[in-house]
Amino acid sequence: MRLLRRHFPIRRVILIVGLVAAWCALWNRLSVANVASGLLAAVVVSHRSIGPPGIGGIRLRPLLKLGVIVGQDLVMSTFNVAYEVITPTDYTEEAIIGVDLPSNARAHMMLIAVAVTVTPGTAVIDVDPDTSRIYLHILHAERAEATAEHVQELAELACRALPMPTDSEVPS
Amino acid sequence: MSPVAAAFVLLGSFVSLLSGIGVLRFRTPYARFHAAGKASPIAFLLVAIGASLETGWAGRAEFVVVAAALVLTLPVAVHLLFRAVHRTEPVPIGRDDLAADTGIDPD
Repeated sequence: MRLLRRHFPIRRVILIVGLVAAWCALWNRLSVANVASGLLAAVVVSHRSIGPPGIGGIRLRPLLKLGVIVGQDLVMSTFNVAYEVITPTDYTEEAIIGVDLPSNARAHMMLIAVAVTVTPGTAVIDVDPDTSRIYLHILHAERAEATAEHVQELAELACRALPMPTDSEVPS
Repeated sequence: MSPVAAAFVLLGSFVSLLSGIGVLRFRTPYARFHAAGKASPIAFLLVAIGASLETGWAGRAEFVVVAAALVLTLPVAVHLLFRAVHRTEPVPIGRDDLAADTGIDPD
């Protein structure tokens, strides 16, 4: 039992369940053979030597909040860009702004960049991991301050949702 | 096809159409990428929602996997396009913090 728990901690079990679900979804059918082959594949890819390092924790509530905010952004800014496309006068005034993120957001750069880029109207052009500064292209320069604040809020939420051990403990 | 599913599919196609018009209308490459790369996941999500109302659970599961793959990978592709343009032929725009910080002159 202890051996089982050592090799299959709860984090790995959740990962395996998710992978098997994705496997069955791809095969389009829930059958014994699919579940068995999916389990085999999931156990192999989640092995310690190839799987994710498994550092840091997951907090569901901030993660959900992050998802909701990104979803809202997605809908709102689609309307925004659609409006710019439909109306004859072009009100866009582009700008590339640098936003400083908290230094503990370094490990979450990927998540933050995807969350920012997935919403139309803002896109990540470059990321400087040394200074944790992120460069965004925005369609409305007058909303630069509001956008910067919004991105910082997203970064803070990402840090709370997926807390990481302090920098010195993270193997680089 | 139920009216709700049809409405979703139509709305998705409409967003797709708008993004196509946006590609033609916006002036700079950056703005065009916004129209082309960003609207397409939303268009796909809308069409997928509409279609998954019609298909069974197996089809829905497949849509979830495809949608997740698209939403997670497309931003990376769009980001690379933006960066490639900025690094090779930067277009002068009103305010450019990146050019200012890295010392590239977009003119």
